[in-house]
Amino acid sequence: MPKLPRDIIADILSRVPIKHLMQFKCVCKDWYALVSDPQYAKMQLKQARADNTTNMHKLFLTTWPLQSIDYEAFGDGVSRNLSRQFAYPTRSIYDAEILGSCNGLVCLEFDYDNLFLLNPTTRDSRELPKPDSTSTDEDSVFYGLGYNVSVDDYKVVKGVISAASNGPNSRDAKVEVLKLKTNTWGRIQYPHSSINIDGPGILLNDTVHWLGT
Amino acid sequence: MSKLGQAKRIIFLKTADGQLFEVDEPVAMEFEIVKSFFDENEDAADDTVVPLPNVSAEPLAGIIEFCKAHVEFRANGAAGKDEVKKFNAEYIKEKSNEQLKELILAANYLNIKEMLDFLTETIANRLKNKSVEYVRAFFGIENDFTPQEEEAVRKEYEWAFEGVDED
Repeated sequence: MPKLPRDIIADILSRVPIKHLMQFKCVCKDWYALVSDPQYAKMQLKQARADNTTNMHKLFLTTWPLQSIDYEAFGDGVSRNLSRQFAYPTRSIYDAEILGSCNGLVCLEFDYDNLFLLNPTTRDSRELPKPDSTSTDEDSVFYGLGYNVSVDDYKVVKGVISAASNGPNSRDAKVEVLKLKTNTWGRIQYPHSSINIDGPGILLNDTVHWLGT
Repeated sequence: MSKLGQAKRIIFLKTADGQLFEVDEPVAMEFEIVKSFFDENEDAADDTVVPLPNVSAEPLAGIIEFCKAHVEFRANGAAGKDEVKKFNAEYIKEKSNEQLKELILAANYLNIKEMLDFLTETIANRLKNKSVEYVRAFFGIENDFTPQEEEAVRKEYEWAFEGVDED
């Protein structure tokens, strides 16, 4: 019986839908390692993008439990594929808030400063360290999740512009960036102290955008 | 290579099990390994036999059939059209898993990108919704997890096991 080389097996597996793939983690130790490898996730993402029959867009709802909905699957009669539910990864008094989504990952905030990164497809989740800055309800808070291709890392941005700022040209802003690889927050300069931004950023062409006022 | 007005050039290929194949040049040039053989040996005689020590006759015949059809599709401007899909579907319909594996190994050795793509896609499709046991048998893989370890992985991804086909 012929045996296939590892690179061909990896190529085949990158074309198998994630749900089936997660089962195949129990085939043997080598496959477990192969499928868990971040390199593999990149290959899978590339294949999924190249395959225009896959709907890359899903709705993610911060209901209780959390839900992801494949709205293009509507009406095909396979109801169990339409919506998937996820338990909250932490105890939370308030509803979750979506801080951003990028390459199929969703960054969620629970009770204002408990941050989690969730992969709804593999159901893996990871708790992120808390940012330094705290905010009150009056402050402007902006945030986003992005991916930096050149360093192959995901970054979470959270900025707080204090409501107690002295006038429109000297806003008291604290902007922090979390690099996922090092799992640490660092502070960056707020570039436009004459502009106020608030709320979630929009990820477009690999860049997070906010609308300033 | 063949000049205008000359008869179609034939490439001779010899398999591991000693069979000689006569293949039209454009079809043989689909095999990257054959193409580079002639690129490196520009003054090779027309009746040079290219040895293929890692491919036996059965998969090679299958590969020639596939590449011949696809060379024609491209010449007729049919690439990417329904008739190609129909041909591909017919082509794999009768192939057993073992034959598919032989084909993919041969296509990998001969380095035929388009066919390799098609075959990996085909195998991926055959594995959808299959049980772990089926997949192990398909690839001839021995389970090296202890029962406890396997149970732990299965539990971790319990949700993925709904709706798996019977073997």
